[in-house]
Amino acid sequence: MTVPLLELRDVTIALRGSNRRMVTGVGLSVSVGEVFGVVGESGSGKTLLTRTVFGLQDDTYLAGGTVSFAGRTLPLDGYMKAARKLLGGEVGFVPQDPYSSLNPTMRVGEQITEALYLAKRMPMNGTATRQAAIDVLGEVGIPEPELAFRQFPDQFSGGMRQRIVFAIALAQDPKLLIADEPTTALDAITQRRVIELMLDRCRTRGMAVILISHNLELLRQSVDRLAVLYGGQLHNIAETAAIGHHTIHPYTEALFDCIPSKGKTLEDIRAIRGEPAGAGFGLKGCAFASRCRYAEPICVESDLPLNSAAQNGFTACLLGRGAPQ
Amino acid sequence: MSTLWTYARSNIERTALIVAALVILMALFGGLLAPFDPLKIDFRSKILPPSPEHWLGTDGSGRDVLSRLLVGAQMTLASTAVVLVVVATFGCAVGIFSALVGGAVDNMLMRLADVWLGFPPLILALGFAAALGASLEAAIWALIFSWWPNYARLTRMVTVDILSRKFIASADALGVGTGAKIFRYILPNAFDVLIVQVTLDISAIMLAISGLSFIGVGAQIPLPEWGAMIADGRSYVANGWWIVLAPGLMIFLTAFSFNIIGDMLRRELDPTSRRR
Repeated sequence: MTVPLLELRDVTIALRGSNRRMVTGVGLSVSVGEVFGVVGESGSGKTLLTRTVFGLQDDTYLAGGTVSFAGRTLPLDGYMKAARKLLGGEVGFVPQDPYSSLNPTMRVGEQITEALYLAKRMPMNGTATRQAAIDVLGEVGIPEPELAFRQFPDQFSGGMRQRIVFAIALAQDPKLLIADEPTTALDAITQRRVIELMLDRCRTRGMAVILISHNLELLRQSVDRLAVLYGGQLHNIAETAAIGHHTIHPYTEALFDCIPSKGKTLEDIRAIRGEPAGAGFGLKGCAFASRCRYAEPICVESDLPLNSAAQNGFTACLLGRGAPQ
Repeated sequence: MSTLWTYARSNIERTALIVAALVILMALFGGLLAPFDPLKIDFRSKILPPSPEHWLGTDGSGRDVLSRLLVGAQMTLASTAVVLVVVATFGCAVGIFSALVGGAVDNMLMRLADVWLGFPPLILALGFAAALGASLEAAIWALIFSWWPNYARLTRMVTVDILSRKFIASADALGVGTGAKIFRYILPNAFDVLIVQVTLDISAIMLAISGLSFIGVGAQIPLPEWGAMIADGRSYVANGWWIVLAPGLMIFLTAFSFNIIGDMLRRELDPTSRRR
């Protein structure tokens, strides 16, 4: 579990045209078969980071840093093209919104056989391909997969569509699956079930997963390690087991403190005061300082430390809070 | 075909479907059914009123009007089909290309289409008639030449909308190539809008061809094109009303039917309430 599959070092992402830096100096690594979480509020840059790293975002580019996948460093020149080559085979995405992420004019089966063709060059109309598609539909818990194969997306409920969207990604058998808020469109119970099913199937296949969410509680229950993004800065890479037990990064702590849960009294639940900073804060000072209850003058004046070594247990806190013991 | 029938919600729409089907059958098999040679001149039997022998009478040169109508259906509809197929294919290609490439190329192509639309088709047809000689081919060329920007603009607009939908982002993440994206993602999703436009344009183009033939820059007089038949018959209106009425009624019925069907399709395939 120590071989890095994806490694980002000092990754900086900027807008095309204005060159405004939206995400600055992110360093992290995901091992083979690991389930890794990325948490952050809306606009913290978590979606932008993954989409740009894999060449899916048209309006941003990789302005600095290095990205390595499976031991190979992607070139900065022609980065988008090189990154996109990883899609449809090595890297898969589970999209955010299952209602609009399926082509309404293609049968569910066709969308899976197309994915199989793209990843494994299986003939789109072959019997084996058809069977593989039906198998993967069964694997994600679709009742009557043979029937589902012939149906159109709008004949399914949201939960079922999310499973279909997952089945399409799963069919390509990627080494890394990126699930960006895969369940926000679903109700709480379906959400839990779909996530559990998804992670279970990925673990069985030895796939690494990056689970992106604004929901810390959801991540805490499903991943071992998570990266905390705020204002386009990487603030913390924490073991989820430590959250709520040890001294942790102030922002991670603040996120945890707003979650109501068993054993917490009303006084324990604290909303984070102030407004969230958007992405693009840069590195001059801590983006969270204005809302942090531990903040000191140094937090605004100093540059934020970088996780250049992409190590585990990183904290960007200028007061050193959350550093591993 | 049976799907079309289930779309019909009123008797007018059902009638329109039947008329359209009959006209298409007429265009396909009319030549076989024609009782007389549509071009055969016989001055002994000119301007005969409808009778058991000549069901729709004869025209000023003694040609059988029914035979001319049946053969003319093919001429009129085939010309319309040629114009539509060429114009829709070319227009769609330009529109999709423009939307996919985007940026300055997109802007340039669309402004070109705007300027192009400024040319009135009638004037263009007169120009073509002057250059190529007045003929049905000249009229077809003129319409092809002036009609494509409509499709380019429509397709471009629809494609831009489709490209912004999330399933395109998902397709990108799966590694779907440009060709597959066009044929499996863009065209099927644009189909609803395009088929409505095509149906409405059948009547528009048919009217344009007949209109051009009527004023003399399209099909020339011995040809049994419906518009040309009206032009030919207008000098006999006083004593041979059937010569003008028969093709006039056919043009009216056909155009009217395809218009009704177009409106029906627009209602049923409205992209804002897409359902299967």
